[in-house]
Amino acid sequence: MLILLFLMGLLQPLWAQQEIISQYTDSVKTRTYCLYPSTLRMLDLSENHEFYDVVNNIEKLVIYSLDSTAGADKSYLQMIKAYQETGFEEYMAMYGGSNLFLLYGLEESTTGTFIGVYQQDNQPQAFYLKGAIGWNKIPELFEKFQEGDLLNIFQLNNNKRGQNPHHQ
Amino acid sequence: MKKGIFFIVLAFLSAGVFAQGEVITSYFNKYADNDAFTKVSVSSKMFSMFTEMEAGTEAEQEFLEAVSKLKGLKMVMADSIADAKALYKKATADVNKAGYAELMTVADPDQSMLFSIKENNGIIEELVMVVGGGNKFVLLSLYGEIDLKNISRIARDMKVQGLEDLGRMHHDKK
Repeated sequence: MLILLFLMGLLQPLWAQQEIISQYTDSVKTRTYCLYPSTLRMLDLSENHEFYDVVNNIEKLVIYSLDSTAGADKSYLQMIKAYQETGFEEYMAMYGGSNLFLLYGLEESTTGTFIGVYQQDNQPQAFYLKGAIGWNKIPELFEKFQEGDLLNIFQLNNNKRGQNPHHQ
Repeated sequence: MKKGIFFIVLAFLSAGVFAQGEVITSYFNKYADNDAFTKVSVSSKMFSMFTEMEAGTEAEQEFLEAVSKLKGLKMVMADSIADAKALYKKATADVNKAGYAELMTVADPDQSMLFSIKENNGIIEELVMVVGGGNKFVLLSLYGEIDLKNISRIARDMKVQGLEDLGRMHHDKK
């Protein structure tokens, strides 16, 4: 019984971490991409090592494409505030004009949980990431992205982007 | 009497701490809601991630060493404003007034640059860069323990728009 209570106590905060972003995106998302280590590696068409090193220790990555109302009223800031209240700290923020990239995180012993918002083709995207990121490989990875070596999952079926199925 | 001196010293020390990054903070606040300006903030948490990593190659080792002593970066920039030169003049005046030591200036009809630092016991604790001309304006503050030799390395690897001008400083000083 004690073990069960202990496990429930451990699982509850982990579940609660994703719950905040899930609840927020319920009404403003148009699409959700849920990626695990195996699916992340499938994105690397050219099989470059930099990409593998960055994603190798990511346990889960969920990307929510948000609808245009979320971008207009910046409601994602409320979601970020809710995370800050649970101990998440700012890692990086870039905003103004067409730029938007917000990254907040909560470090645990060897891994961490990260949430954030960024803009892709004028469409806001929110993400939830659990695991460890190979940060030192990111500069090299950016180069590969610029060279078009990696598959861009956001370009798939993007003719329906910006339409919230809940509002149809 | 001793207590009085102690509080005066403490007050001066506190003023020094609060002065760190005061120019960039005031511009950050001033243009917070102005969409013509992009605001970038990288916290010490982000830089601390690099300190926990093991470098695989010599290039990675150089990059990690370069960023491991940094505590933060703040930047306000715009690339389509009409009064960039006027804003540059105001920002450079604000930087000089705040007590930063001028490191280098580049006066160019198209685009001028100012690099200033704040030092403590021979250690550069803050580097401020102001760029202005045409339609472009950049005000950047990098703080922590800064080694000028590594600035170009950071500028090259981080690939952040506006930061590439930091690389020019090390190059121009040779």
